[in-house]
Amino acid sequence: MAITRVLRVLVVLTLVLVPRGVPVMAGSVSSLQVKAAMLIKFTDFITWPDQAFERSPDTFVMGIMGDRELVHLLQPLAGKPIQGRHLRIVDLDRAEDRPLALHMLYVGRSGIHRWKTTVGTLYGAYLLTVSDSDLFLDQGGIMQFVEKSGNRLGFAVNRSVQMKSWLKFSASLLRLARIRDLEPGDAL
Amino acid sequence: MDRLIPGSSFQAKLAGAIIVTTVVCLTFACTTFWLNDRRIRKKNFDRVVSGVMEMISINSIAALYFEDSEAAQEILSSLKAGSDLVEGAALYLSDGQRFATYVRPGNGPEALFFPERVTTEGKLVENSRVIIVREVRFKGAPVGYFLLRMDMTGYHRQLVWYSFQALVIGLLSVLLGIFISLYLKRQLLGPVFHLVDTVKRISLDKNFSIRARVFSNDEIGDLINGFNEMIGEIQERDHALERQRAGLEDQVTTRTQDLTDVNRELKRLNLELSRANSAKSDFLSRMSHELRTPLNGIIGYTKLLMKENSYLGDMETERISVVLQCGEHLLLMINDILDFSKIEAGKVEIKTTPFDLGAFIRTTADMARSKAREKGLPIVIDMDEALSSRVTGDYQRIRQVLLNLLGNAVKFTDQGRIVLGVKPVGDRIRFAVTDTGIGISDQGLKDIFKAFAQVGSVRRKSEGTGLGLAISRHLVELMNARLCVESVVGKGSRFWFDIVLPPQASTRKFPSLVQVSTPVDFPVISLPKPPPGNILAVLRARTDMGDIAGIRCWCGENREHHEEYSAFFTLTERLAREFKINDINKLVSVSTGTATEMEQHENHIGGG
Repeated sequence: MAITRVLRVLVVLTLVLVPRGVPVMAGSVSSLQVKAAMLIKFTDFITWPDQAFERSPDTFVMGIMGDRELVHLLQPLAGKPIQGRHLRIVDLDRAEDRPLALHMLYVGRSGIHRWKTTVGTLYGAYLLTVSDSDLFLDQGGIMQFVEKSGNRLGFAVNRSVQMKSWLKFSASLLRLARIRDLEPGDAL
Repeated sequence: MDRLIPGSSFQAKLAGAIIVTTVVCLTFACTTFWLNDRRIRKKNFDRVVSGVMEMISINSIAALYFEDSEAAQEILSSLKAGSDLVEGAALYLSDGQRFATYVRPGNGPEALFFPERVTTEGKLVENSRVIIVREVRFKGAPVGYFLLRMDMTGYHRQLVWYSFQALVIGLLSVLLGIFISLYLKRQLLGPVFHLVDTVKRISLDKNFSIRARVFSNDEIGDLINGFNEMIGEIQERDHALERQRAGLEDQVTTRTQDLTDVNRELKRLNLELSRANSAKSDFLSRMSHELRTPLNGIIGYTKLLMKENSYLGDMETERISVVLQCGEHLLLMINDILDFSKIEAGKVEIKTTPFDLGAFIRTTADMARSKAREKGLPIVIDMDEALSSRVTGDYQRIRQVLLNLLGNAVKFTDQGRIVLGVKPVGDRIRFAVTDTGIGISDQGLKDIFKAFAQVGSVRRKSEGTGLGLAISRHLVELMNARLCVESVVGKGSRFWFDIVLPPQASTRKFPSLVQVSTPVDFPVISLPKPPPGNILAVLRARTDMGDIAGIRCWCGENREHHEEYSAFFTLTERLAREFKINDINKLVSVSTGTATEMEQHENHIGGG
């Protein structure tokens, strides 16, 4: 029921903010909102293993780096159930917000060069990493927002990294994704 | 079957049964298969539809969720590889907005096919199209709608085509079934029909040499073998019968030949017998005549001796009377035998002449009275007054019978009386002679009319020949009547007969030449003078012969003379029967000549 309520909110959000047929402009407020909705929606098609929740059994922790605006946008959804747990939004740019565990990481443009050293090494396994930067997959990230024809927002998946991450992606999600198969460091 | 196809042959019935069975069974089978196939097709169709629905629904969840129309389009395009029943499909977002469409290549523009908005599940059937809308749900919440549009034309065409195929196959199966059944029927029942044909041919031609052909070694073969054996047996029996019949014919021919031979022999014997019989009769009548003539002489002269020679002593008189009695008896016997042989030879005829019944009865009674008087017996006439006196009939034969009966009555009656009764019975006249004699026993009554039979334990004075009653019976029968008798032993007897004596039609006068006291109605001959003595002796002898009749007598009315000459009259009467009256006149004149001449003449007549 919780999920349906979240979805209903999201649907209402998208309907209000993103009228059909209107292209989503990258960088605009609307674009960010779409990204926020999609981040939440991704969790419906990805399954985290139980080991991911050993340190924080009751919370699903979503960390955001380099995009404070998105943090604000998502903050109201905190506490909502994701993967059967309460959602917690963490702004990783603030030093006091260092969670015990991290399940999902969004990297904004400003954080693209430091996420790997600060967060990537710390939380290693069971972490879904998403960014809107074109460099992200080459850096060993799993998902990346991409612009599709007609200014639509799509996403790409680095399949080899995803396979190693112990995260299970549903086929439906993969069907929608642009698949990349890059070993980390290939392009470095 | 016979009720359905009355009067048809067994073959037709069997063929009918086979055809009906085949048609019914195959029709049932085809219909069942057709219906089953139809059901399966429908089920398959439903399964295909639901499969498509399911697949598209599941695959399109993410596309709808992320509102990725390209992905949605791609998913719908996968229908291209599926059933060509799918004409088109569309995905709608959960708010009802059309999101992605698919139209099978070759169909019209999409606008013709899909509504702008869809907000509910449902199914719509229009003409040959089916539109199904299904909600796509993700985690319990609707994320959109899937619309599937199917063109059933092909499906229906396929169904019709399949039905047509089923019908054709069914019809072909029926035809094949009938053909095979009839072929098998002919193969199986051919021998039976051949047997039936053979039976018909045998019964038509009656030719038992025909045999039915044996086709197989099964039960029908056994049947035909049995039939052939049976026919063989019949044929064998037929031959046996034929042989027997031929033998029988031979036998019949032989027997017929034998019979013919026997018949010829019998004819020959019969001829011989009749010759012998006629010879016998001839002999008897000749002999009677020959015997009578000398006997008459003996009797006549014996009587003369007794009457005219009073000088004879008592002893001589006694002996002469014995001679006379013996002669008279002998004469009586000869006369009887003569009469009997005449009757047997069929030479006696009944001659009808008019006569006076009353006078006839009186004369007859008088004739019998001479004997009766000797025994002191009265003869009483009991005649009905109402009887016509003038009648016609053979009075001589009636008299002969009556005298015989009266003679018998006298003979067997010692006391009492004898009644001669005459009375009408219907259109006949009954003559009855009743006596009070010894009577006749029952056994006697049975034999009484047989020849040479004489009733009574003791032969009464050795009188009679035993022929009297037999002769009487024959004479009565010749007059179309029957001589009857009734008797009580010790009380008496009664003999009677009823004969027809028609009254005389005319009142013609009788010849009245005879002027004697007893009126007689005979043709009478007048004699010019008394006959010579030797003739007279003969006449006297004849008087005793029994057949006494009235006589015209030249001696007046002297009764003595009358009796004496009555015999002469009998002679002349007999002659009158055999000659014409003129001849009799001549004869009489001759008979008045010499006795020799007369005898010669008589012999001539007897021989004739």
